[in-house]
Amino acid sequence: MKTNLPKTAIVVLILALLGSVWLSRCAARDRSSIVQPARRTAAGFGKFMSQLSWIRLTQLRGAGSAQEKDVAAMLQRRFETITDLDPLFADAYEQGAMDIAHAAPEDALRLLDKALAVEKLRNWKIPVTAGFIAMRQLKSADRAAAYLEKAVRLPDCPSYAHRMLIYAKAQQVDNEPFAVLNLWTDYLGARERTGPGELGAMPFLAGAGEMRSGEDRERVLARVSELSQQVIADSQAQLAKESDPARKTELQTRIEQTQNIIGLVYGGQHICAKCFRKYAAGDRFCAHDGTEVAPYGVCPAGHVMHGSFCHLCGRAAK
Amino acid sequence: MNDLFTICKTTYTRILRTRALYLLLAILLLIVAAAHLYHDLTMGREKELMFDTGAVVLAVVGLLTGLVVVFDVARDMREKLVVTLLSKPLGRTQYLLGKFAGVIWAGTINLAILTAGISALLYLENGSGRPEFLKAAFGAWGAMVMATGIGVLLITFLTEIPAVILTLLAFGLGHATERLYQSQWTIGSILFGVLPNFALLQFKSELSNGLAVDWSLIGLSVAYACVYTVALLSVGAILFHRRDLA
Repeated sequence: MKTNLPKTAIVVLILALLGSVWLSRCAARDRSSIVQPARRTAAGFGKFMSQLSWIRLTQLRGAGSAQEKDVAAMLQRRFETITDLDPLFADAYEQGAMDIAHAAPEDALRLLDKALAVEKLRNWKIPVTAGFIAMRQLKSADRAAAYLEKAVRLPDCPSYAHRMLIYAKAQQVDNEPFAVLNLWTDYLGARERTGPGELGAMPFLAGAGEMRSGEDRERVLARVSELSQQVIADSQAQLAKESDPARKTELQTRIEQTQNIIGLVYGGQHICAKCFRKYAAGDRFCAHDGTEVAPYGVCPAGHVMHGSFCHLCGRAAK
Repeated sequence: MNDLFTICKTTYTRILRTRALYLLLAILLLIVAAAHLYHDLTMGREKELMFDTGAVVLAVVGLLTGLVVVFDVARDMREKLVVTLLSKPLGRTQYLLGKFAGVIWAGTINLAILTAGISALLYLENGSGRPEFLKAAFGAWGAMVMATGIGVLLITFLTEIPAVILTLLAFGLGHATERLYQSQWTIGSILFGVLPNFALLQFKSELSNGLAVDWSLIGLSVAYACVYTVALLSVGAILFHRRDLA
């Protein structure tokens, strides 16, 4: 046994080595599609080290004002280290960028760009934060729109990110009312068309469950009404002064298009002819601008109806 | 084969009979449980901290197990126990494999106790189980097998202190060899297959951050660790066969 041992061991060694080479390559190949390699390995303790650094950094964040450039630079280095140790640490990117955004907005965006480059990290908060910083600190609508376009394609992105994107796009067109109205109408159209079963077909709205909530819809409708009123008022004012027939036709078309939009948005509903906002049953004047409106849902005596007959005078509706 | 089992049983019985070991395991579980108190200090990330601390505890215990075999074999040599044992009809390979298997068995029991304890803590912390922790535990087990294999190989031709230092070094550097997979050079590709690759057994960050890691990948990685350890033990057997024990 003893004399044969090295030969057996050599054969086993060769076979095991070949097997381990093959298995390591298979594992590395499969792993590359799932695992995000860290920039710093830290002997396999990178994730834990990043947690410890986070705890330490939490103390530092409270100790100094991140509005000072040197403090912001120090914080940025620390956040870089944490995210090098754990590239999937979404909170570190997001909160780090928000911390240093005031003193060093470009560095904040660099940190968020680093997060966006991490393929496995699909967190809508990262591009939304980047869009916010680009819009608020750098006043760059183009960069903000680019980030927010990425955000709205990510799962679970809330409706306010969609609205932020429209505000950024509105700035790109210098807030020209008719162009902005079209942006909101497109959004509303997409929103209305997207039923729960159709989310997959419209990836840019995927997962935006909150967006289908009534609150978001009311906000969008209010904005559409406000802009429509502005477009029609501006167009009518220009039309009165305009002498060029081509321009007059253009303005007339714009008014008609806006009215069509209002018709599509509020089709079959009772709206004020001036401000294009809904009014309730029994209202005689618009609650927003005091314009007289045609009442509905009232009996001949003017009482608000709750059914087929008036609960106060017993008469049928008008 | 009986000789191998006898060596294995003696080794793991001796390790598991150490009372300090259970105290150490209890302290490690307390350290993991202490993460619960870190809500404010981590800004609400105490659940992730507990998961990460648990995974690190398993990795450390696995690594220490790799060092136990170094000290155990070194002690046998120092006390000339090896000479006594090998004077009986016992092969050197059986001795080495018995030591390896005994340490792995004891390490597996330790990891199982810790995994059960940490899983219970995670259940209490999250209000529901974290089954993915089991994947981290399998990764830690694979790393333990490989670290023990390296320890066995090194102690066959080195004394204990250099063997311990080199085992630790191999564990540390073994996490960086994954980069060689992307290497354009042939030598890099060869080194990737030949050098120990502990990074293939690391899934802590992905599991902690909620990314799905398939069991097939865990199985492949653990299979790699086992096969690579066989290669290490073969080299160890060859070197130990030629070593002068007198």
